[in-house]
Amino acid sequence: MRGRVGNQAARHADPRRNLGFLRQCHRQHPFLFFNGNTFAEIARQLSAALFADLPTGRRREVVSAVAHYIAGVLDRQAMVEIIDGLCESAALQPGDRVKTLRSSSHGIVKRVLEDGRVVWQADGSSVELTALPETLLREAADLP
Amino acid sequence: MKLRIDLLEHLTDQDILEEGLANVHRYKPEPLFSKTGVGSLLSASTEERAKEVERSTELIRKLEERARQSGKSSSPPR
Repeated sequence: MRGRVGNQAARHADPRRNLGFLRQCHRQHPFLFFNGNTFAEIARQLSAALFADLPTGRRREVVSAVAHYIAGVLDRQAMVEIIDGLCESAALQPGDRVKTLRSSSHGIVKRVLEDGRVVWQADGSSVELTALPETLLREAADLP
Repeated sequence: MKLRIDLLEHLTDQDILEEGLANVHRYKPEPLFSKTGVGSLLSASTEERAKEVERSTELIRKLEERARQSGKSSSPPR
């Protein structure tokens, strides 16, 4: 296993391939106990460094998604969608459909304040909420 | 947003070990993933998530410091 890890690191600087490799390693459970943390934590630290430029809240969610992927909780497609969504530099505009990072609330942007914060209104509520842009994700517009 | 591959060069085994030890309780010792195809990872508590952010921020600070000390630019590659 040590040889395989070394060869993998030498061959592939591509983070996507390395994440897939770490997931395989975890699934093969080469150690008697605690296989998950061995490989998921390698991926967690790799992704924390790779996504260092993301705002803290988004970086935390990216790192968490990667760890869940390696541990076998999330599939690859779900992880990729989460990371893509979080990396989107959302220049939110009034009228954009948005959701919270964990999709617990959905709504619409009402206006953007001068300091960059976003005023938005959750679906089914008349209350306006103020949020940092990095705490919201843009949703695809509904087709007519 | 650029991926900070430059920072990966400065990541050490010790950095990974520290994070692994901090999160070890969230993993089950049984090889569930290999047997069932579905793994498990215990959700982090609010307090744990706050500590994760602290450690992550500290890690990035250390990596950028190491990059500076090694004479390489810590700014993202253009």
